[in-house]
Amino acid sequence: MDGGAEVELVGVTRRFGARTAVDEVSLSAYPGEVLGLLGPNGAGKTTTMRMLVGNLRPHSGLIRVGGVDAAVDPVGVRRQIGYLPETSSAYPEMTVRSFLEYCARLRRLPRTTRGAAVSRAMRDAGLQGHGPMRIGALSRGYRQRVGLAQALVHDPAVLVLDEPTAGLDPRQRVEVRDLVARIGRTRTVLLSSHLLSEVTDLCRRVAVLDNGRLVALEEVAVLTARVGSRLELRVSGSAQRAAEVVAGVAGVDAVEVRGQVVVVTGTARLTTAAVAAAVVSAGIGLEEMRTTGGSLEAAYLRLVKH
Amino acid sequence: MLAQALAIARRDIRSIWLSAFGVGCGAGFLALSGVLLVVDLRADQARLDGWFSPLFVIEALLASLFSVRSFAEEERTGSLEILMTMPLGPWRLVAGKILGAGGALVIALATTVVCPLMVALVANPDPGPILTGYTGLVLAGLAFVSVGVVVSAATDSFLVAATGSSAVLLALWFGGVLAGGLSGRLRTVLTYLSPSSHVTGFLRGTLSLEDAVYFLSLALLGVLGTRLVLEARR
Repeated sequence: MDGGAEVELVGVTRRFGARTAVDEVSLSAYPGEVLGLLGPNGAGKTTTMRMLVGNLRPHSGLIRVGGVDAAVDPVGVRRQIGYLPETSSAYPEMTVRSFLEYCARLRRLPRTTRGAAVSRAMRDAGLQGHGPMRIGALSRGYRQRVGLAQALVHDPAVLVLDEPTAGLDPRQRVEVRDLVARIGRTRTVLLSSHLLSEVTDLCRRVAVLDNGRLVALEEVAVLTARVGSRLELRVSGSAQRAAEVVAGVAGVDAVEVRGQVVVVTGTARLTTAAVAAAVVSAGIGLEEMRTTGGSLEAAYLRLVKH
Repeated sequence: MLAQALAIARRDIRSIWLSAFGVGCGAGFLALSGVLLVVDLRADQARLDGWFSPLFVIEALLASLFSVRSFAEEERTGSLEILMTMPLGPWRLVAGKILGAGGALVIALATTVVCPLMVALVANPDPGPILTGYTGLVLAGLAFVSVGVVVSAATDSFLVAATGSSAVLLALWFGGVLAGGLSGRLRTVLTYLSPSSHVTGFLRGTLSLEDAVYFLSLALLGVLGTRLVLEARR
């Protein structure tokens, strides 16, 4: 077991009939960390999250949150977790404030602090002024915020967010992303998302699931470095000459000429600045340069086969 | 502890009675009660046992409809997933749900008090059978709701939950009626299992411990069944 980890999954397996949805998954998440959970649809992300929050029981393996074993004290584990499900749906007939007060009551917050906790959760989720509104009358983005507020109302040590920005407009996405980043500074956040740019922005480490198996648990930088870098340069002079110059730059593995475009692949040491400097100093005009590899997307596509 | 179960029950009662569904069901129940009263009073006697008797059957149907919302409706709308991650033990969740549907049913029953009151305005009915009749309706309602909540926990379909629990309750009820044509142990078992065998005392103005135990046992079975279904879902 990992001493400093807030969340620990050890060899967790869950089957649905003959199908193994999650197969021997082990991972840890630490305080002050946003851990990204990536994988295609059906990879086992939601099942893993549901097991972590106690909605599903693993068929084997161990789940610990804040040192509490979920098999021994599932209520104790749930007390420490705030969960935003993928298909979060609060009661449409309730007002935002009454729903959050209901959640606070079920979370057994003392009567004396309940009102303040609800106000704080509403502020954190950007719901100020929406307290008296009926949830059914809110837009999808605001309903998502209500889901987020109920996950925050008890100030949990661990936050599990399943696709928190799904269905939000770009501005709302940025706001939720900023909120998650702020929360992640002091708490442990497990974040599932199909938006790799969002994961790159928020997470230092990612766990990649494919077909129920954990295929990677790495820092984003390590994963992307493993894929290597790929640059495309459009030059105005001799592309052949540019290719010869670039081939001598540190970190370059291969150079290919396609008309006026020079395609450069290399290791993580390859930098755009070094390539640009080499081309320009050789007196070749550099019209355009762009990075097309070395991203989390490239690493993800290499890892995920399904 | 109990506060969590009561919070769930309070929310569920409000949810039922603040919806068109709940108001419609309640209004339908009250209207049928009125029709039954008119039919019963055609005998020209201020007796209400003939009114209470079919009310138990209609109550079973209303209990099925109200208990559908406890789990099946929440599962369908997605709110159940949030509820299931709350730090409350399964007993409290089940107790809250049964109290919620049961509480909503008691409100529906309370509206029918207008029927005996109207009879009391024009005649002098014996208050004993009225009091025991309502005691029986509350006890039976608790049992019916518990059975409905088990079925509701087992499905996410409103239709399956409503028809399923109605079918179970009506099968139990009419099993007792059919038992009249049978003999031997099967007759004894079906007769005992049927709610129809346990409402007669309430209709006549007597409170029997055996009948109370029957309905409370059915309610307890519902609680245990729901607990098992929820565990199986995990």
